[in-house]
Amino acid sequence: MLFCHVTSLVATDKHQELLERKGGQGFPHIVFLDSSGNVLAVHEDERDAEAFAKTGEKAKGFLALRARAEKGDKAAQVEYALAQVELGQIKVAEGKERLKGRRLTKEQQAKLDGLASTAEVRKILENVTQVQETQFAAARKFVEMKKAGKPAPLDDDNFQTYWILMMNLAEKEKNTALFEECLAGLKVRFGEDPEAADFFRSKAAILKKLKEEGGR
Amino acid sequence: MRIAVSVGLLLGLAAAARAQDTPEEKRDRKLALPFLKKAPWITDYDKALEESRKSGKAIFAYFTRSYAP
Repeated sequence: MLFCHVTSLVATDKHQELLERKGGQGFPHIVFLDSSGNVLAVHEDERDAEAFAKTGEKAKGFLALRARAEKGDKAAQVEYALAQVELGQIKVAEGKERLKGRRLTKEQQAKLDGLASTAEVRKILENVTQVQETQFAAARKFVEMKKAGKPAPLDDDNFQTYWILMMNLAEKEKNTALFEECLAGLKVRFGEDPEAADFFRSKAAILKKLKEEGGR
Repeated sequence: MRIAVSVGLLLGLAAAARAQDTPEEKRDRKLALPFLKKAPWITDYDKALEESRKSGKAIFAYFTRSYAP
């Protein structure tokens, strides 16, 4: 069934914070919900019927996973906890608590670490505005996260913002090594995207200039 | 050229008028958009949850806004 929520900034309109409660960071935001309002799947693909149907299948998959976990399937319980963190149904801390003592595969541990980074990056980005200094401040925190061995965020939007803000800081500070690392980080995920070709070309030119100028 | 300028002026004036609309007017204009009439969209969250409980169907939720940033 179809539900459309309009954030209107009208003081008397109900549920004006609903976008944020359902994990949205911008508009439009499309999710599947259950009858308790829990997010079952987030739509991040093209906006056409075929893509919506695929996300609908993901929602069904989550419900099936939930049913297996509730029946006591230990493996499903681990996947279910990770899925709940990913969907924002529970916080990272609760997810880690539920998974304490459980044996996670390397992939599952990597996912949990990635989800923790995603949550941390999202929190940092809450203070970022159009004011450039707020963006540099966030980038410095990302540099610290990276130094501490924390992985990049998992979702495309936060992944992109994480690397790009650091790249902009690197350019400002003429930190060639960091700039090059950020460019490589972005290429891992977006390097083959034809729509990103101009972006990568322009950044490669900046990197070349930084190297020629002998940045650190 | 004169027609293009007149249309441009009218569009500009319309945009300026919309910018001065109250949040309520902007919301009402959004809720009156044709796409919301072409399918059975529910625009009340509590009602959507109730209908989902009654029907056993999941909710396809589309979040949008009526204000400009």
